Amino acid sequence: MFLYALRRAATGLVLAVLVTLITYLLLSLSFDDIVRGRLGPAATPESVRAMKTDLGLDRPVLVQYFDWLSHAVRGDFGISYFTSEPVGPAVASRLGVTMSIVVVALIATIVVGVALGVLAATRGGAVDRLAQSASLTGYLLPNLLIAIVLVVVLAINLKLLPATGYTPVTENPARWAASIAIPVIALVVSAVASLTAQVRGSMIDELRRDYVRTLRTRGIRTRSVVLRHALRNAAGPALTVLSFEFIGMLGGALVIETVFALPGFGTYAFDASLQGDVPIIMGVTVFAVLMVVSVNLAVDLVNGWLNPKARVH
Amino acid sequence: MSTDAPNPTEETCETGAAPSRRSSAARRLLRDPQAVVTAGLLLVIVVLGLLAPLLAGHGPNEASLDAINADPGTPGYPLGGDGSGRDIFARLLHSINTSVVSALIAASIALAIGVTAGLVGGYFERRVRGLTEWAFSLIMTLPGLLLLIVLMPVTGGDYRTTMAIFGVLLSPGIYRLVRNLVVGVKNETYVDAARVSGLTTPRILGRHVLVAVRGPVVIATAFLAGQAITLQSGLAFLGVGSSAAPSFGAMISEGFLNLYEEPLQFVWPSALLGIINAALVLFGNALRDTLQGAQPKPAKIVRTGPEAAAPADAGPAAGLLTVEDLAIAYPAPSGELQEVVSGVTLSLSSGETLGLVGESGSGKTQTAFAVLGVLPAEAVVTRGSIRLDGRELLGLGEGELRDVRGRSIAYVPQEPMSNLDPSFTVGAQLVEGVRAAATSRISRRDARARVLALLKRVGIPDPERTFRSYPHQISGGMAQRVLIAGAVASRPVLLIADEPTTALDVTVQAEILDLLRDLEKELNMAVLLVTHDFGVVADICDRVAVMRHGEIVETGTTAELFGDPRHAYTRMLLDSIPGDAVRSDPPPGDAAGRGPGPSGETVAKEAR
Amino acid sequence: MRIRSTGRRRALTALAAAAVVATASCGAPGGRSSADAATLSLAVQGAPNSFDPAQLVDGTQSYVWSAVYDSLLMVDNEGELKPNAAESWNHSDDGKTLTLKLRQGMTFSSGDPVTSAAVKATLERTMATPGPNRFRLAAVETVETPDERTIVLRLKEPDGALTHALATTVGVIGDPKTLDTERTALDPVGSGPYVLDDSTVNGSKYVLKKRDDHWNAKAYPFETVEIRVIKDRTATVNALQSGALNAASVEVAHVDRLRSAGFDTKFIEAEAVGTLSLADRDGEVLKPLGDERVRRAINMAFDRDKIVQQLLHGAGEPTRQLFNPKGDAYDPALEKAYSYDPATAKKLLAEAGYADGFAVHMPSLFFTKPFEPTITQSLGEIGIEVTWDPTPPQNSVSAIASEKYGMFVMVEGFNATPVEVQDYLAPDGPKNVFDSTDPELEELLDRVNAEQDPAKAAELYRRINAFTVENAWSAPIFYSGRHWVTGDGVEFLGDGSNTFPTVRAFGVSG
Repeated sequence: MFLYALRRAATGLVLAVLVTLITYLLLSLSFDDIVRGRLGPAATPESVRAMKTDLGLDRPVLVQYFDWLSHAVRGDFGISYFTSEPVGPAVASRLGVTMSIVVVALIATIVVGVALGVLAATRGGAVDRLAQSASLTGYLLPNLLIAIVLVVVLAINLKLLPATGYTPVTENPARWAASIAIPVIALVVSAVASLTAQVRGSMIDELRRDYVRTLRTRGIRTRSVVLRHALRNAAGPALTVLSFEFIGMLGGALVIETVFALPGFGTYAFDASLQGDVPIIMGVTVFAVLMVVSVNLAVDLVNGWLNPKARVH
Repeated sequence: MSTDAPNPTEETCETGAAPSRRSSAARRLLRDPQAVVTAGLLLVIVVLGLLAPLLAGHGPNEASLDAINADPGTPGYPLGGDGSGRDIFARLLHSINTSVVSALIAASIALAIGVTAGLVGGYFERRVRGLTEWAFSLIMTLPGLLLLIVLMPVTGGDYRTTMAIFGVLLSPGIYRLVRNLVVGVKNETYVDAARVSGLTTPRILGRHVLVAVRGPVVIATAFLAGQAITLQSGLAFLGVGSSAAPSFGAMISEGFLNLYEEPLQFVWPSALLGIINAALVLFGNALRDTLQGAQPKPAKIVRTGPEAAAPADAGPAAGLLTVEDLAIAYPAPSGELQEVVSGVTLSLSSGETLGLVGESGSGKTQTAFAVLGVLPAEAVVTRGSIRLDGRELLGLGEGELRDVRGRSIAYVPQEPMSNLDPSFTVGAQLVEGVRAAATSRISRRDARARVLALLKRVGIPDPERTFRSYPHQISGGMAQRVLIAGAVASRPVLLIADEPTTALDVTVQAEILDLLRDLEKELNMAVLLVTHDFGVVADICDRVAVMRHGEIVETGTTAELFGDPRHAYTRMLLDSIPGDAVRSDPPPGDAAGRGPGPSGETVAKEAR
Repeated sequence: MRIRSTGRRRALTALAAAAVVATASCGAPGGRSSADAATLSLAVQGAPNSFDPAQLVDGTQSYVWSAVYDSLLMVDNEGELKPNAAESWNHSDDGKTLTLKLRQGMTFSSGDPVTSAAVKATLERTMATPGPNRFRLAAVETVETPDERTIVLRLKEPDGALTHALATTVGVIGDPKTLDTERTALDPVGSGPYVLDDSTVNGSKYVLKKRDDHWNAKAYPFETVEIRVIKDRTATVNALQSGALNAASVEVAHVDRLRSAGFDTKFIEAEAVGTLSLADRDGEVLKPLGDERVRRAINMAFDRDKIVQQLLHGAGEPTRQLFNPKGDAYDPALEKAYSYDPATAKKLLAEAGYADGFAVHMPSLFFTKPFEPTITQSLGEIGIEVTWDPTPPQNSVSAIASEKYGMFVMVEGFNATPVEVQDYLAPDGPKNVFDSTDPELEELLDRVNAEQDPAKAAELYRRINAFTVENAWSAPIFYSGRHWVTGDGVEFLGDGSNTFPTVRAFGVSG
């Protein structure tokens, strides 16, 4: 198990190197433009050259990349071309904001999605239709609209929650909760549908399986049969959906961060790529890759725990 | 990218079949209102897009200062003008085309790459697959949005190029789907046959394997299209890329700026985009239902209402179990009830073994489930009575039934593997059952000791090890012993065994029957043995009831029945037994339903 | 099955939600601002770049750095150039020497005194470092410091824009002890009225605390200035309404609602000019533009009044001039030129040999998108067919600077007139992409750079402006304004005369 995780982690690192290399090569196509962008319209060919030398962009691309890599493995991701902010700490702080929202949203999605899915699968009929249409409606309503309606109602009219901004949890937990409440709701509403559908589907499948009937004939409580046995077996496919949801939420966070003016990872990455802020793009890429790799690894490990047959050795 | 790969073995049954299946699939699709409505809607939308130049009075980028924020209904501007003075109606229609082109480009590239690589990766062995796995893990790890923006100088912001790249980014989902399907199908006999007959690999891949993966890929395509449209709109919403192509995303973003003043400018594109996406998702679901068999509808696993049957007045209890005039019905698609069991009457005394014999579909399993109180929720008991030791079971609540189940009545199923929860160790599920059925609280440790003793009793050589094992780690015969142990754990007075040996090897069958017979004696249980196998009946039954079409056609002692079958059906059943292979030959009717499928299928079949 | 009802339900839900938005916001109680008067909470759209003096960028980010750094000179809210860190300045008669005298008793936030050596160090560093403002000091030959309070700039040639430049980016004074250290970019040591507080979150929230020991502390009424980066315009409005901000500029569409919610609003008439720059005046990459008749024709293609009325919703004025209406160069008489006349425009094109018009590519940039349909349409009417090349933001500067496009759309914030003239018209001006020159213009530029008398200089600026209008060097279409919204206790003091964003533009209202 441990060895497996280790091997997967190593694979992840190799992937990270490849992906960052590709990103760097692609970026190198527009180095001139990026430097000009930084120097503004007054740039002269000389100043462009001088700044490229300053930034080390006059060396062969592979040399530049390996230079970046050798710093990156030591945790030094350089400083932003435009703000000079060190990239590592900046990414970490931005990630904190986005993760606060996404992780809380994910947990809420799990709770709501599983509850709705199980209800729909076990009650059927009107409850099923209601749960299904509620989640479909949520899926189809744009994030944006949900967010803006919540802001107008909860923040502007009732002044219950802040309309914009983020308070770190370390600063004030209550304010932190308030500052992420609306973004979390907006994310959950659109994410809950696929999970509900998946849980509902696999629960229906599981509940029709023979072992469910056999467990019932032993006098085991229905609640235990449904929640302990069927749900656990239904959780595997749902987990895969969940991992996509997680990655999707990181993307969806971009819109949410913009609407709520939150200093999150999404806007940070987006703005940096629009500006061509090479060190940030590279740093962001590393974290994005590591995130995807670790989510996949986590899914596999949890899946192994849930499903003994898939357990890795 | 939720291309959740369905179980490959199920796939092969569905799609690997003859081409006649295909046309019937199309016909079934045409009969499915969800598919027809969504496909119709999509078709209408696509046609609207194609006819855009004819329908709209203006070009999508044609601006008139007079039309800025024009009201809906302004001549020439049926839905009004946007913030730049463009015809919203024209832009909506042209945005459809952008979406359609996006979907086509991204989906076809994802399919071309994913299917090709999936076929190759799935069909060939380790080395090639290792290579494709790596390539696709790499693609999957690429940070998509970031890359699309970084690549803007290269793509020039043209949405078609962007969608082509996105197609590549989407391909891993398809690859995985196809690879799994191919791995599942490649050792099927017809592929082997093709290989032996000397067909070249590309031809095998193209002709036989590709056919097998077609269905799921078609379904995945519907979802791919949705993703491509969503992404294209998303990018346009963020203002990434060319503004020359009209797009829902751009319209939504412009409408969002104007949200407080002209909310409709936001609503139109959001609504149309929503409808397209909803139609694609629902159409995809309908496709899945048609090609992969309908998703079962949810049903309460427990009936909450009282049974429809009015218990007959409790006459003197003839024996341990009396079933009188039991009728079970299922609602037909028309809504009417259709009886599958019609007026069955049975009785069983303590220590007696009754064989309930009949072909599949005769209602014997339904009768057994009714006694256990585990009929599917849609089943209705329309009349009759089931009494155990004089106590009416019909109409009992789930809580009361639970006391009966496990303690008084126990159940040994047909298919040992599918009747064990794969996620729990053998020990854990047995312990849970023992504790649930215990009349007084019993500690986990005591329950464990009891389970270990039981496992030993049912002839498991290394109880400790089996206790710790997961179901997939033990053999079928072993699993059946485990299930028997689970059933007799609480010393029930009645054991209902539903074809307990049919799924097992011949040698194991005999052992299991011996075990059942021993236990019956030891515990003085009554046994209701549901079977189609007269060999088994002859082996252990005291009496026999023959069922056909939901009715008992003949009852009698085993000796009577074998010696002098009175009903023609009984004679026919007896005649069909091959002289010597009494136990070995599964009856023709059941052979097809066997296999990994849950016996829920059997239930459904019998119910029909 | 459920499709139709779902679709309809979805549309209805959207409508209902929109209705909620519309009605709810009408009834929103507003104007109450949690930020007390001692705090100015201001929104800007973009995060500031580096605070390194050599890398400072104009625009709203100067709210932050202009509060941390003192500049040598300043422009007050009436647009007058005024002493600041330098209590006086004067030019030599030939305009080639500028002498500045520093105020006494100024200190950096570190406690060190501000000396002429610090000024020299900062200026020389900016001149030596590749950066966006280095060209503003191109005329400077040497920086001399005869004593602790005197700075003498010796110039290669007279530069009329230099004093104004010293009131903005290149005029800031950095602390020589820390200038070359890492903190300069993020948390610089300056001698300005505010220091960056620890609660600052880079890229998101900049918290400035007032220095009570600043020489001009009383001119800054706010103890705390919070500058929040909010990119989305709707989010800005939401933040105002929920009380998180008490000052921001908003879109015209939001003004009424905010006013009825109790906010003060102030319209700054002229903030930026929207122009179609006809940059390739010699026809190097776009031959037709070499012909003055073509450039004049383009100027006649735009129905400027209607564009302002409809596209800008009245938040601006039509114009034919590049220069700040509040500045010296602007001449109302020039607005009579180039009325909307597509027929004459076509005739002019035909005379120039383009009876069938011609095709042109222009870069499509973030800020050009709202104007593209109208410009395409207007030019299309006189036969000029526009194709917009999508240009990623990271390429936008270089797309224009690359001389690939003979004409392009610019929306440029106004500046002090001398700076504008330098940017647009000097051969090496950053907005003079094709380095266009003309003997008549060159003479005028030389004269105005050397001119010491403000009145005479103003006259020369007007003549320069007239030259560009008559020769149709550009096709300005409108100048646009900005709506400022302020909450209780805060007042926006500017009127557009000063184009430099600084917290000095905000005061405490009675």
